[in-house]
This record gives sequence, C-alpha cells and structure tokens, in this order.
Amino acid sequence: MGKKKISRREFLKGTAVATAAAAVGPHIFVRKATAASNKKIVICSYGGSYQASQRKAFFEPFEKATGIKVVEATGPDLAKIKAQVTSGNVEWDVVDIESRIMYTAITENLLEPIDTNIVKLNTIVKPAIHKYGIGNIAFTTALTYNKKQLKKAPKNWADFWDVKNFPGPRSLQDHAPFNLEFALIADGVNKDKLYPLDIDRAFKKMSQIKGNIDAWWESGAQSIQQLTSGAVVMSSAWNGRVNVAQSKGVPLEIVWDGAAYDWDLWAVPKGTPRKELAMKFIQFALDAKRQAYQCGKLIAYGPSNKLAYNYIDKARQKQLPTYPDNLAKQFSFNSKWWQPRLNKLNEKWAAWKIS
Amino acid sequence: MSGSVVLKGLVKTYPGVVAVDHLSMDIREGEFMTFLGASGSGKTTTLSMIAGLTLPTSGEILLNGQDVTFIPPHKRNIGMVFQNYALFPHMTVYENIAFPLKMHKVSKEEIAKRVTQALHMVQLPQHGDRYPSQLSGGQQQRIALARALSFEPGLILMDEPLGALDKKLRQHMQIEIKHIQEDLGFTTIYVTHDQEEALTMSDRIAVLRDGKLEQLGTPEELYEEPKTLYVADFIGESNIFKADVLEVGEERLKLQLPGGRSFYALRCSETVEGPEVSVAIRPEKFRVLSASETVSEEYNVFEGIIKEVIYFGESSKYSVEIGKDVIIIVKQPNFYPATKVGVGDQLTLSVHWRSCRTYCEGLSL
Amino acid sequence: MDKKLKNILMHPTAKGMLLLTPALVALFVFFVIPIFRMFHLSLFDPHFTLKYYIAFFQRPVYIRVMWITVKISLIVTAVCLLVGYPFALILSRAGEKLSKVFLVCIVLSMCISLLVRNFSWIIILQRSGIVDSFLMKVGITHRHVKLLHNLFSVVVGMAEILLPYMILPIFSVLKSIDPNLPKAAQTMGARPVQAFWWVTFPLSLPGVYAGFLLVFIMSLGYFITPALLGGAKEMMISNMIAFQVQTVLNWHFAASLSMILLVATLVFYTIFNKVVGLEKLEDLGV
Repeated sequence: MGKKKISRREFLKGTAVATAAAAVGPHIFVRKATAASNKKIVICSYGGSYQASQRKAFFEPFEKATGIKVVEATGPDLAKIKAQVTSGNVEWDVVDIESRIMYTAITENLLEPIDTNIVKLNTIVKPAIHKYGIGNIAFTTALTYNKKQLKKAPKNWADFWDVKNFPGPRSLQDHAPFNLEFALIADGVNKDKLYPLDIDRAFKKMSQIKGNIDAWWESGAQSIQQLTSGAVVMSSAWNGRVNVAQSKGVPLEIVWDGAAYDWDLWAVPKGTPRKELAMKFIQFALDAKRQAYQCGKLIAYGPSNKLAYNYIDKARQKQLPTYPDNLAKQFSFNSKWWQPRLNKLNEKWAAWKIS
Repeated sequence: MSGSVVLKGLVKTYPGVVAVDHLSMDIREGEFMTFLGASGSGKTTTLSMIAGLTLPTSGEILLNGQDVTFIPPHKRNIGMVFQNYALFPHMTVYENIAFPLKMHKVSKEEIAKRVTQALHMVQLPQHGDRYPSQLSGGQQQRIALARALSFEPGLILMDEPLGALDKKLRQHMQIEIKHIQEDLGFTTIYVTHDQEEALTMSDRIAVLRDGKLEQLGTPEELYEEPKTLYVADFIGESNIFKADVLEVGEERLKLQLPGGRSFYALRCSETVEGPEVSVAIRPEKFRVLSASETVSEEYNVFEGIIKEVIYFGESSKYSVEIGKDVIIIVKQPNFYPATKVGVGDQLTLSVHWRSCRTYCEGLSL
Repeated sequence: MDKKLKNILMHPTAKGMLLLTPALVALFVFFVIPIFRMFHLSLFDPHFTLKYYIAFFQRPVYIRVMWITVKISLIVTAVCLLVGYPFALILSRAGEKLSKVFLVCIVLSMCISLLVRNFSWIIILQRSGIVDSFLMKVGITHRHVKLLHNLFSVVVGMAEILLPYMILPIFSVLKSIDPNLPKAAQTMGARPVQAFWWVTFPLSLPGVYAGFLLVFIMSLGYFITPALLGGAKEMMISNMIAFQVQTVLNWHFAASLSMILLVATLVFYTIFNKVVGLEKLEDLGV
C-alpha cells in the first residue's frame, strides 16, 4: 500500500478539475480534521433521525461521562474511508457501516481488528460479532407505503410490482443489493432460497418495474421525504426511520413480508491515532441500557445486546426487526455472498439503469 | 427626388426636461439647412424626430407634404449620417453601402452598379473589400455619406458628421459634402455646434436655444442682423456692453456710454423699455482713424486707450477701453505700412451707427 | 542587497513576474500537479497499463454515458441560449436602473448554494408539488404529470443555474454595440426585425459564442443536478466518475474517465475555436 499512496486531496482536486466542473460545488465533501488530540473522538454515521438517536443515546452520554468531545460526521462512504486510510490521514475514529461495506473494507484492508480486551462481547448476539466490526443494531429494509396515497394495502413485493392494482410512482435505493433480492421474491422465489441470486432473472424482473420508479433514493432521509410528501406511493425504506416518521404522525406503513434485515456495525478505520478511545466508545455504546434507550424510545431498530430487551416494553418490541414474528417474515441479507460480486454487480446496475 | 420638410409645433419632453419646445419651420426642397446650437439646444432631438427614431410628444412632421409623424423610420426614405458614422463593423465597405439597397429590394446587378457609383462619388473606388476598422476617420466619413446616398433619398440628415475629424480634414470635407449636395440636389438637414461650419455650408441656418427657434435665416442675415443678443454672441464675435438710453428715435437710439460719450445705434425692437439697453458691435466693423481724419455724421466716433494688442498675421486685435469699464475688441487688417500703435496709446475709432445693434434683454448665458 | 540583483529585481518586467509568482505557484500546486497525478493514476497500476482506457471504449455503457453527457449539455446550452438571449436583449435595452437591479439579482442568484436551488426544483416539480397541483387545479391535466427525475427536470435545473453564464457575456456584448447601428439600419429601410437580424444579432455573436462555450463546458462536468433531479437515464460522466470513486472504489478507472472528459473538453474547445474563429472576430474590433 505504502508505495502507491495517493494523496486524497490531490485526487479529489484532480477529479474536480478534470471534470471541468469549474466553480460548481465539490464532488465529495470531506471535513478536515485538526491534529490528533485525545480531547475528542470523530464518529461518522448515516445522519438523519438515526444519527439523532445515536446522539441522544451514546454521543451525549459519552461526552458527559468522559469529558471527551464527540465530533460527528455524516455519510461513511467507503471511498472516504479508503482515502483517509491510504493517505495516512485518518479523520474518523469510529464508523457506523452496513455489513457489506464492512466486508469490502476488510478486503481493502481498511479496518482495525476489534480489541476484545476493551470491547466485551459476552452478551452480544452471535450474528453481530465479527473480527473487524461489532453489530450495533439490526435494521430492516422493507416495502413501505403511504396509506393516504393507496386505496388498497400492498402485502408483499409482488404487489410492489403490480402497477395495475397499486398505481403510482415508486422509489428504490440506488444500488443493486437488496433490490435484486426483492425482485426475485416478487418473481416468486422463496425468501429462504434466494442465495446464490439468479442475477439475470433479477435484472429481468427489475426491468419490468423500472419505468414506474420515479426516483432512486440515495440517503435514508430521501426515501422518507418522498413517501411523506407523496412524491411516491411506495418505496423501500429503513424501518427505524419509518418508525420515527410514524411517531410524528406521517401515515406510513411497513410490510414485513419479504423484507431484508441486516446489521449496522461499529468499526474502526485503520491507523486512527485514537484507536483505544475508539474501542472504549464501542464498548460504551454496546451497553444494554443505552441500546434499550435508543431502540426502545428513539428509533425502532433491533439492539445487538441480548440484555437490552429486558428494558424494552412488549408493545415496542413488536415494532423491532428482531421481534420473532417480524424476523420470521424476513430474510437475512447475505453480505458474504455480495461482497466479492459487489463491484461487478454495481457496474451492471449502472449500465442497466441507463439502458 | 424631392424632400421638403415642414415642422409644425414640434414638442418633445422628457421627464423634467423640455428638449424641443414648439418648433415650427419650413425646409425647402434642395435646401442645405443647418440646425445650429449649443449642446442641449434640442438640435439632435429634432433631427432624430425627423428621422423617425424619436417620437414627438406633440406636433407634426410633414415630408413632401405628407404627415409622417407616426410613420416608422424605415418607411420614411431618409438618409442619415451619424456623428460616429455608425458603419456596420461586421460588414465590408461594399456591404455597408449595399445594405440600404438590399433593404429596399434592389436587384443584385443594380446594387453592384450603384455601390460602384457611390464609391466613385466619394473617391474611394478601391476600398470596397475593406472593413470599416481598416479605414481612416475621413474615409469612414465618406463611406457613411456614400451609404446614406446610395438609395437616393430625397432628404439627408447629418448629425455632426465631421465632429471627429481634425480641423484641416474637416474644412476639406465641408467643401466636398457641399459639392456633392449641390451636384445631386438633395435636401440636407445638418446639425452642428460649430458656427463657422454652419456659415460655410448652409443655405439657411436655424439657431436653436433651449429647444426653441432663436432665429432662422441665411448665414449673412444671421451674421449681419442677429435678431437676439444670443445670436449676436453665438454667431461670430460681438462686443457687448450696456449703454444708457438718451433719446428714442424712429429708427435709431441715442445712447450714452458709462464714461460719458454719446453715440447712435440701430433700434432693434418696437418698444424700448428701461433706462439702458445692450449694444452689440462686431470687432471688424470699427475703423482706426488717423489723427487728421474726419468722418460723416453716419459714423460714431469713440476714443480710448489700448490695453492689449494681439497679432494674428493677416489682422491684429486691439482691446480698447472706450468708456468706464467698457473694453471692446477691435479687429483691423494689417495694411502696409503697419499701424504703429501699442499698449497705452490713444486710439480713435469710427463705426457706422447701423453696425451698432441694440437689444433690450440682457445676455444670460 | 547586491546592486545588480536589485536592479534586475526592480526592473518592471521582473517586478511583474514577481507579483505573478504566487498565482503561478498556486496554479501549479493545485492544478498542474493534480492533473498530472491523475494522468499518472490512470496509466499506472502499479505498472504502465492502458487497460483503464481500453475499458472505456470496450464497454458500451461508458460510451453511452458520454453520449448522454454531451446530449444533456447540448440541450441545456440550447435552452440557456433561447431563454438567455431575449433576456439579455431586454436587459441591454432597459433603463439604467432596471438593468442594474436585474444584474444584481442575477449575480446574487449565483451566490445561492447549488444544492438549495436544486432542492427548490424538487419541491416545485415533484408529484403533488407546486406545478403538478396547479395544473390539476386549473384543469389542464387530470392525472399527476411526471415532471421530476427525468430529462426535463435535469435540463430545467441545470439551465436555471447556468443561465447567468449565458446572459452575462451576451448582455455585455449587446451593451457595447453602438445603439446608433440598429437605428442607422432603420433609417436605411430596415424594419426593426431586419435591423436586429442584420446588425444587432451578428454583432452580438461573440457574446453568444462565449456563453455557448461557458455553458456547454460547465455542463459537461455537471454532477449534483443530474444526481438530484435526474432519473435513471440521466447519468452524466461526472456521476459515473463519482460512482467509480465512491461505490466501486476503482480510482484508476475514475482517473481515466476524468482524463477522457478533460481531453474531450479540450477537443471541443479547439474545434469550436477553429470553426468560429474567436480571434478573427476580435480583429474586427467587435
């Protein structure tokens, strides 16, 4: 790695210049961190109501308990992690990333192994434990619809594809993962026999709905905004964010059938000068009561600490992705299958989109 | 080719300003008429209204007896030469001259013929392929003229066309324009602030002041018989001073200088009000008398001390104090032998009483 | 200081060069070096290879994205020209005060964040948004019309942002045209439309060319607007570069795409200059 180091700054500037984007905003927004200091820790997560819940449940209590300032960043892009690690200028000490991102980051050698001397794992559920990342919450990507915009309630992904009985524009996330699974389920594949994915069949099915996809969302907030404003009638969305919107009175409904659950994990970019502090934070954030506060009161995701359920009331548990009834209707997103195929399938995705 | 112009009570007002104030005049066919005035006198605005580029606030404009007040410029068949020539920089000289012909749907062969003619007329037959920026100021001026003439309009308007040229070239062009105009016989309305230019070129001159017609007449009339003090001052040079009225005669006034000497002057207005009038006398109307010389009663005689002598070659100018605080300029040709007078000498001057013109109004400039 | 050296340094030309130095250094550090590094990145992995360029020409998707980029840029430029020219014309003939107010508005609009302006279009154009509800209320349409996330919204969003770059050069050229020229044309028998067509318009062409060049080249590198307002098919080359950088993590290929865009832009500029001959127009003193 050392020999073909590319300065992140130069690379980004070069890109901006060569795309002749004269005076038009920069492509990638990266915050400049000041020299390493133990008085603060920089954490990057997915923004929106999700990061707001983390702020209340983890960041603020951590600041109070340690006196160390938590500096927040948003949008834990692989590219940014790679740029930071390869340039030796790591700004993010802790990142919250999805499992497939973690797997890619591992192959690119971008993460520190979790220091189990600091991070205690005895009460953490098995699927959440990895060498380079510890599950934080389980989240579900589910078919979500706006009750006011549809006369009939869709029951599954087949209904999402059924534009005759469920008319109106739709939205899906702008990448191949999840969508290909949804397409196969809509096409009749059993949710427990998805992998290995039949890629051609999935894209063929995707082509059927393409014309009715009004927008491809890129951020979780965007999916909720589109559903709320009525710009689309149905969309894939992350259940926690849907839950927050519901609590604000937005008439959204989740369809658990054929939904995908996956893990969000805490990970530490390789080479951070505050590695130990980062591990301490992860340990802090895995605390059962703190997770229970986040998932029980703030956002309806599934906590990774088994003990957290002791502090969440029954009614609330029913809204979580990890509630047994909900779990039974979903499939587990297979990051391991995706990881080696991700780039190729994403390129195929881009080509399919513009074709 | 005909081009008579009648202006009837023409008014143009801009917010807060009256640019042209009830202007009426007849311009005869084939006449070279000059609008002469200082800047802000309304001469260019009037020209612009005749061309149709500015709409009058009220009044009428007749062209060959036809009311054209609201006819757009492209239907008036008037040629115009602008102050900065307004040659089209993206067209060659040929294309510039051909432009009005093209707009009038003249055939291609005819255009070629007429452009060649026009280029010959302004003595630039070889310059058709050049662009205006490659020509000198004088050449551009000629092309502008050729272009205005190429479609043979009955009336040509010229807005200070020689203003940008140096003096020698300007005098040369004045004569050239005059010759072309006389040869082709088109009516010309010429705007200038240069009174010398106006006198040299015009059949008649309209002196404008603050949007009003101050005086209209031939160059000689304007020079010899200015109706107002303004015209007397504006055209040529005039000695202007105040004098007390002693007697009011039918044709002449008996006046008295502040110093005491009395003299006669032409009565200019019907009524003479007030105790004093303004007197205007041209510097060249005086004659220096030798010591023994006497003159008839028709001539006024003034005596004074020479304050300054300026030598001009063909003539000299003397400032002479002929009364208390009345200093006049006297212009005398330098005969042989030269008059040997200098500063401080006493000088006796005679001037015909008809050359002393009086005005009731003061001069407010 | 050595007197000789002092003399050299104080020489007017040398002084001018000294003043230029910071700018030249900045240009070198922030422009020349990064481009060179990118060029290097596109050709070495870690040894010399052309595979990232070959990939571009081998896979039709990239040619297609390039074509989409050029197509959208041309449409945006045409829209800017059609809207901007009349606007500049009116502005150049408006009173001093009015044109000043408009110019200030235009310049101020350029200070507003691109994101804000793009998001405003989302609100205006989205389903049940301002335009859609208005059309339904008035009865022009009876169903929701799709105004967002398609070519239309991308063109509208880009043209709105790039319009000043078309208006300002045209305006400044129109303003510099002697107002007597169209008047002279009219006295020579040209109707106002003819005077415009034969005189004002040809003289304003340098402004049109400058605006065309600015808008088109800036369009080629557009990223945010197609990302926010576009649908599936409005993927421009910059989006593809960002996709390679952010999602695929193939920075070598991203660099080669960037170099291809840079070269395409330079080629376009050269051809444009040859065909239009910007210098020739300058010679005319226009």
